[in-house]
Amino acid sequence: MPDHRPLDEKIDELRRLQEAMLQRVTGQFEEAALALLERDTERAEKVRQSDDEIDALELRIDNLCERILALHTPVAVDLRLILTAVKINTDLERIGDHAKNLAKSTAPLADWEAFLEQADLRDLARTVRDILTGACEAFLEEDPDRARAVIERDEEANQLYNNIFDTTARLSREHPEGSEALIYLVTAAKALERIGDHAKNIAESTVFLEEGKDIRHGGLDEEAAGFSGDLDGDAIPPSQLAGK
Amino acid sequence: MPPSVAADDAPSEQQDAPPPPPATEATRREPDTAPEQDRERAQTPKVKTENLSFWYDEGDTQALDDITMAIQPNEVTAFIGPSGCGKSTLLRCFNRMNDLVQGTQMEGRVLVDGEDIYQKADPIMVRRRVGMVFQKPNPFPKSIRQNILWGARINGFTGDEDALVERSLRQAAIWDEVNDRLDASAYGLSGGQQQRLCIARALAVRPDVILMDEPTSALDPQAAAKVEETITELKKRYTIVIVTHNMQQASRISDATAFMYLGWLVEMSHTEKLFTRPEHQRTEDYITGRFG
Repeated sequence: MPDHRPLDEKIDELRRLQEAMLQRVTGQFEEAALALLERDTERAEKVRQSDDEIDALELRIDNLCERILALHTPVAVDLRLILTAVKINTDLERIGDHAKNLAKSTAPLADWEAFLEQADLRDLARTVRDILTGACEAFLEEDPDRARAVIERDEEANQLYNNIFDTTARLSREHPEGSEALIYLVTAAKALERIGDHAKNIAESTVFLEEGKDIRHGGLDEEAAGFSGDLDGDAIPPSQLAGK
Repeated sequence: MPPSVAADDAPSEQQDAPPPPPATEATRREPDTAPEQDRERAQTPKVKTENLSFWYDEGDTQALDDITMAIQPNEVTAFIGPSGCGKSTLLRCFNRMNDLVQGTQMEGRVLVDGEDIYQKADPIMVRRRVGMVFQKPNPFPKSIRQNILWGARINGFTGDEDALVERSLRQAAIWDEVNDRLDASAYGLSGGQQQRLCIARALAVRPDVILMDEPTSALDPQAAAKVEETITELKKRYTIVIVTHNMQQASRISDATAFMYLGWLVEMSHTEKLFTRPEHQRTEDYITGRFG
């Protein structure tokens, strides 16, 4: 059945699907982090089993974006909305995967509480949760200032991960009998750090969506991209060009 | 059948009715913010307007309000905006086509290559330099060859006519399709071919600027694509200004785009910028279809 709904209705549906996806993914992350830190293997198993809903939402969002692009040829803010929807969709799906990796590390670390405490995994999990929650809220509330604040916190998560890596190396020398658990520990820390990176991507996409500015990698060279004039030679003063 | 070229004595000129008045004084509202033209360009503008205002009906209906803009050479500039916003009126100011409409008034200046075309220039010479192609293909009821040569002969052309015909048809990207039937009637051509013939006819008088008023709106998508390809090729030699309601066409083929509303120039910038990051909410509303 052809979908002849107007663009605004499809965009409303897209926003609803995105909100559902954000809730599922952040919920899955919270559960996975809680399971790991509380060494709750039952909770972890539920996280490992709950990926299907996120995968289904990912497919629906991508399909809706494809149909909007094909049938409505969006421009300006509508085009940015679709571009960011596709990118954020991928980021969220990857966050879901990393949450599963956290869950997988729960059982191997269940008997090594001291490792979790010494490595300060809780602090990293808390920081990443704040970044992820902040990015999702900035997106839903269309708040580029909040998104920028979130982006600045990513470095904090990276530093905490580096600390955990160093601690793990030390623990592996001191406790060779726990080497397998320590591999899971660093894997879990890496998953948290990557979740922070994807959350940062969501925040960057939010700035692009709201302001039309691509701030990744130091920003776009606007002149090279054709967004400013050729300034060789005698430029015409803007005062001559501007109307009233 | 009137010609599509605004040549010096083309019979179509009197037959082209003015566009509908854009707005009454009662419906006019100030734009949210001042119009923008953010492009600082290296070249001297080919066409420039300074504080251009225009009225129909003996001054009762204002169609253009204080338009200042610059059209760069060897670029395609698109005018977009809702019906009645003044884009066709503005286009016709560029070659004094509005002189032919009774009861019009104009203030401000229109400069072509720095010369005020309303002061010293002969309107016939202006229209030779600034040709025009209209919405519906309108070849003369003559052969393809005669369509090309008509304007040139009237302008006193005494050179190699075969070469002129071939050059004009090649530049309009229709030579390969018609070179074996130059003496056949132009009416035997398809709509898209007729429109490219009209473009070739405009080129035959060697204009600098070509104005196109919705040149593909009467064509099927394939013929429109051919004309668009032709326009893209022509900008290497000519300056082109096109009025279009097809925003995808504007975004495909133009280098600069001007959005007009109720006689105002709301925003003019690089096409990529206007269609991705317009400065004005009204522009964004229009290009995203939320206007009104």
